Amino acid sequence: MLTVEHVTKKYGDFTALEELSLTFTEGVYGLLAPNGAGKTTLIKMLTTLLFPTAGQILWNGTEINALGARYRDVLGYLPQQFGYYKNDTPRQFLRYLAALKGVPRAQTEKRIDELLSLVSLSDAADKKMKKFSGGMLQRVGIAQAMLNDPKLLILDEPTAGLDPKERVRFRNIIHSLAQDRIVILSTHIVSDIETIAHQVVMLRDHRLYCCEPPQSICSGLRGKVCELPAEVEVHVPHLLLGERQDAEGALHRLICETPPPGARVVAPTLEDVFLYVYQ
Amino acid sequence: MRIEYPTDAEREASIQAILSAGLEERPTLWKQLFDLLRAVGLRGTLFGVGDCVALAILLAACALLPLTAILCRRGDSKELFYPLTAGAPLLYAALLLLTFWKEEQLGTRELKMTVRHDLRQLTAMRLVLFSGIAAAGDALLAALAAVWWRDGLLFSQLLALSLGALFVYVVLTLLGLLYIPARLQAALPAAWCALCLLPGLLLPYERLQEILAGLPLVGTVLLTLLAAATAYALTRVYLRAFRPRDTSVYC
Repeated sequence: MLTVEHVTKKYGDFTALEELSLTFTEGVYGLLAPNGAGKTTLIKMLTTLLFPTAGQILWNGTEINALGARYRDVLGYLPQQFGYYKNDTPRQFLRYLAALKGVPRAQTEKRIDELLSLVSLSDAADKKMKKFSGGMLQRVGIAQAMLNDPKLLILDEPTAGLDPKERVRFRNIIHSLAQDRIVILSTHIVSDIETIAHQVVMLRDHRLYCCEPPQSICSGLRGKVCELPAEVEVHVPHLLLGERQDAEGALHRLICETPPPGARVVAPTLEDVFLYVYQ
Repeated sequence: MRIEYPTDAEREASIQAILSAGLEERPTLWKQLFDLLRAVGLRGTLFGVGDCVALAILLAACALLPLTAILCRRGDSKELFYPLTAGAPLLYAALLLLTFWKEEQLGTRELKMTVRHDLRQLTAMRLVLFSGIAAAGDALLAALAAVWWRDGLLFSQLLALSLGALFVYVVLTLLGLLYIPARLQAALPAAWCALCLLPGLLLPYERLQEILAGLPLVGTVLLTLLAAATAYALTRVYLRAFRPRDTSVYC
């Protein structure tokens, strides 16, 4: 269990995170917030790259910096900017990282083969990474994060820059990895976590806004999200969420306390909540 | 019912058993480095930065050209003292700067800070390795000079001076890793150059050479040993310290 207790992070006069308290147990947690909200700051504190200004982070009751290498043994991390050695193959790179992570040599090759198969890179295992696409590199990133079979897997914006097909493939991989471990997935792309996260952590104004299942978060807007034809003027206070094309023409999707006449109430999505909370 | 109290020996043994279980023995620097070497090997220590090592050695070799001119002229052996002392950390500084510049450019730093044998351990290992390579280079130059001038004492003098300068630079590097913000650390080589050039601006060059050549050997050796011991102690502090508030360019 990972516990964040009253964590605050300040850079001089600027407060990046304030009085954050969370508890993570097995499952997938989506860390959802817009750019600059403090997601990466929190991620870096969980991965010991930064220290909290106040508060503490505990792994099974012990402060993570006091645990040192023992905490890093249970940690798998994919940074937002994933660095790699261009002239090496995934196999060489994973072999090197396996040594740094303390994976026993007798198990390294088998583990690498399993992980490359999991991320569908077995055919490219011995090709230089400078020839890889963005999606392939992120898959190598996932594979390296899993080398030590971590109990805590932290992924910082893993799907940024990936095409929809790669994002779906990524989601499926994460879903398959979520058994018996804590997976924390930081993103501002709602669709990445909508279907796989069992809890969504939202940050607002550098504080915790909520930590609930997606359905529970969406229920807060039930009855308030509606669609109506774009040409219809709306005279009640509302928030325009977006526009889509229908067989009958353009439709506006909006949030308002009382749906206007002619509007069709629809089920709210996590993206609707995101746009509403962070307007 | 009579309760048997433990004897003093049994009590002490129990206390020791509890302390042993609760207090982990801190590994020595050499044990940590040996564990790292066993885990990743020498090749792993320099994984991805082999080109930087080759480039650093090439740079140092180029810097030797002026020294070969001194040798070819068969000038006074005192002419070697100042350049060898000031240039002793050159190979070490080049190795360090180039390897960590590459790590920074590749973006592997963050990832390597979150593994069991983290970048701090790798850094410490590289510091030891690079100072060993630089020391071997300095020793070779001192030996060549001694052979050239057929002066055994010259070898001792040059070796003590160059190793002293090298270990002082290593100490400055470690102090920088521990206490100086990242944006200032890369300026250390420039600071060293300024420090070495300053005497040359204050004193005539020949006078400077004479001062260096006239330094007592015992004193120079003691200074070298002191600098080496300080470097060892600071490396242990570096491995044990929490990360500085501002992430270092080297760590």
